[in-house]
Amino acid sequence: MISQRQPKAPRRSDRSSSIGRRGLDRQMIGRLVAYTRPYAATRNWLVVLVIIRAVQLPLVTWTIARIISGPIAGLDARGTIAGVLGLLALIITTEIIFMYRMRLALKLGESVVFDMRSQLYAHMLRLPMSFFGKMPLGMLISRITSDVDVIRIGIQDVVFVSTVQFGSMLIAAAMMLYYNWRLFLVAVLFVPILWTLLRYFRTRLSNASRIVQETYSRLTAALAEYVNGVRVIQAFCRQAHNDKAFLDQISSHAQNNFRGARYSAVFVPLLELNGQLLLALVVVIGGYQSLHGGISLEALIQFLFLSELFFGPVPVLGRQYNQALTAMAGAERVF
Amino acid sequence: MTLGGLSFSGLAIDVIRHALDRTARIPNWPLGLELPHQFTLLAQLLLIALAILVTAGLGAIFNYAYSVTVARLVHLEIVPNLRAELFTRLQRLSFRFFDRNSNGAIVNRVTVDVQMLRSFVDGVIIQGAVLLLSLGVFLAYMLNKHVKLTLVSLSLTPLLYVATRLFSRWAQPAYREGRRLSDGMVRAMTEGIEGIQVTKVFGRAHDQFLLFDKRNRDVREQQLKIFKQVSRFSPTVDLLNQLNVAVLLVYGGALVAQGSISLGDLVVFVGMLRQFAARASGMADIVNTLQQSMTGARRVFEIFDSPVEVKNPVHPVKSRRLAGKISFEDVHFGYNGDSVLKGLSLQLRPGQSVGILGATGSGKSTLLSLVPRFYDPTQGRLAIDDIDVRSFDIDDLRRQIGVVFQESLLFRDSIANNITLGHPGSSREQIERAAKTAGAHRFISELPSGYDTILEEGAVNLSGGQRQRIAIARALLLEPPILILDDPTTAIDAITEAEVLDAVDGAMVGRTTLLVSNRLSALRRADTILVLDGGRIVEQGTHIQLLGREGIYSRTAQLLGSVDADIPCLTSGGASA
Repeated sequence: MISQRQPKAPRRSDRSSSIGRRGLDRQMIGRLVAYTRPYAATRNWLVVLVIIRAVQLPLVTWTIARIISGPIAGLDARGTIAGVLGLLALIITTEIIFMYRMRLALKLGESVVFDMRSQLYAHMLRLPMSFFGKMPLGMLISRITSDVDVIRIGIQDVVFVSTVQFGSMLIAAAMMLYYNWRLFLVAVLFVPILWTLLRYFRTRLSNASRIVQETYSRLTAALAEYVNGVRVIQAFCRQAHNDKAFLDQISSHAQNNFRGARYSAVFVPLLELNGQLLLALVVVIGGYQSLHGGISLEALIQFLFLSELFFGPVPVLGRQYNQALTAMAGAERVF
Repeated sequence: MTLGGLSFSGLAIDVIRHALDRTARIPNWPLGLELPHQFTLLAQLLLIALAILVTAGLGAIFNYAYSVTVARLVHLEIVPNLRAELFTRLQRLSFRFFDRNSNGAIVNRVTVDVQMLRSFVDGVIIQGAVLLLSLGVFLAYMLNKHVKLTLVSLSLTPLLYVATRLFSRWAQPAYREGRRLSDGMVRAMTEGIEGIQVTKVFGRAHDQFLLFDKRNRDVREQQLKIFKQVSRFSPTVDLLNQLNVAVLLVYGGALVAQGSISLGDLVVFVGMLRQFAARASGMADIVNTLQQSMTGARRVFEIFDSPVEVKNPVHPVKSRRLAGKISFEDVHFGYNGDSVLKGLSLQLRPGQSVGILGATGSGKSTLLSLVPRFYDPTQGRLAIDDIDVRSFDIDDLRRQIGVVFQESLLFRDSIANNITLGHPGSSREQIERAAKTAGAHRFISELPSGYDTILEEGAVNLSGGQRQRIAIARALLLEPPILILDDPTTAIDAITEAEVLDAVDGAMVGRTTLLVSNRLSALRRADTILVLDGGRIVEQGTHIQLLGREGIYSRTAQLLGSVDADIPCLTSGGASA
């Protein structure tokens, strides 16, 4: 049977369980990007669509704010209708771009994992017999299912969603700078805070992801062995003993999963809190400036919308970062 | 909490606007609050900022508590319990279930499908509840602010229901097909890896790869079909939500012009509608997850719903050591309507050995499987010591029967633990005694770690003969009165066969033994040999008697070139059919 003494964290000596201290590994990212080469046309179109969408999202927010602070505040009905018609055109094109962005990203991710699975299996078939003696079948199954799947999600979501969100942030930041550089500086104050948060959680989230992938792999390996030997297990009445051994493994994996989820549970609300802090500062500083002619009310309304646009993507990026670390953990095991 | 931030920023706009233009609407503080006159404008803004911070802080705490609670529920309760129950169930399912489902597909169900089912809890139930709750709060707040504006700005929302229904109708069968194809891919992989030795020896790696590649391609094609629909559905939901905002701006702008609502109210309304839209767009993910998780759930519940065909009796007969008399009385058995055993009758005395010869599908392995109740006869009766086997407690029965399968199926553990598989409390003395009887003690002792040697995957660090002798030792550990040997020499070469047969000789002494083999060198060790054909006994006798007849046995002997009938049998006797 598979050892019943399942460690919570795998041993360093185990090749398949080496837990590093890195976050996003550049070399690993390079290898993953290399898998997109056969689909260069799809990938390049996707990059174009992502850039367009990164511009469109803040543009929609800006247009809405502009309609409110301009024609609506100025009680201009004709201007409002014209603005809304423009907004409609923008929304429709944004959704068309979204549809193709999504479709191409999903297609690219699936194509990459298709190649990866094929190459992985072809490689396995070439490996010497000694490899199969040391590597349980279940662990190989988990490489081709669970590990490859997290890579797929990483390719389909992380890169492109993050680019769109990050692009939106940059454009929002540029607009904020345009409307009021003093308030913009207030927003910039949050960058080092966000950076510190990221650094603090990077190692923890990364390690948690790797351990989760590793214990999942062990779980699959144990399961595969039990299923393969089920006739012997029943013949020798081993079921109750195996129930307990498997439960130990399930519990170990569950604890590791929970540990990772707890880090995320702290990380994401902290990121969200920053947005609300900025809002409070904008209300006080912007409001004070507005009363003393430093900023118009219209610009302040714009700024409030833009600050939401600036910080809205932060938690999304946090979740994507977490997903990227999981994909890295999967990629490490596949490579 | 989001509402708090939004409504306080709207209040700030109204406060500033009123300070700049005294004719503008007087700001409405929440809960009808009226601030003292000495409160300066800056103090009012500071108060609003403080309120934003307090609600944000509370929001962060609630968010953390919510995430941890959900994670605890999902990761520490639901998923582990589900996996454990599924595994417990799986281990007790009849052999028929494992005949029907490949190992890879079963592993896929307990790992990936449980994961998908998990997403039903956190991605559908919890997210759905949060969505409904937050939409409800937003709706209530908006209705409280302005009923007509709310209804107008949500006028396109019913179309979401239509889009969702259409997508759901298409998606579920598509996801089901995707999972079926994924099973096929995993099966191709596991079969290839399990048979890697044969693949390498016969140079069939390319064929194996082509098979896997085809299945992999099927999975990709199905996934692409699904993605195409998903990439239509999500933007459609998003579009409908964004159109609501456009409608709001037109009607809300008119209301501002009429003085029915303030500009700050409109800002809050737009902010809320955008939040509402963002959450409603999340519905696309929930619906998508629902379809996936339903597919996973169906596959998981199929295991729970699979009948345990071999059941324990409600009142089993009292456990005692069996003598080993076995009676097959007009036994019939079939798989999926195909009859395998047809009215087979046979009696074995305690200590008697019976060899069974037959072509593939003749029913010889099935006959063996009925004794420890891996299957139950569909008709007729099988009795041990004149008691119907269905009257025994299954575990008690199986502990008195030693089984050696065609393949040794050793586990990645020490040799000692493999021998004590069914009896973990056995002493080292018992282990060594069993190993000696099985002719395994010597080679085990010569290994650097002896009985503590850890076996690799498939026990590839041992030879075929060594593996099989350990399997025999495992079967003999508690000195069972009945021994079942299902073609133990099938997968080994002639030299190794001699080692294993020596072990078989030792194992059979004093036990009622049923030995299936297609090798006459093995069969002639039995007191009586049966020849099965089409689920019936067509020949019966000793090795010498059968060689003297013009029948399947003698023809087999001639084909194998083995007519050396002078080797004496271990014991003599006869089974009566």
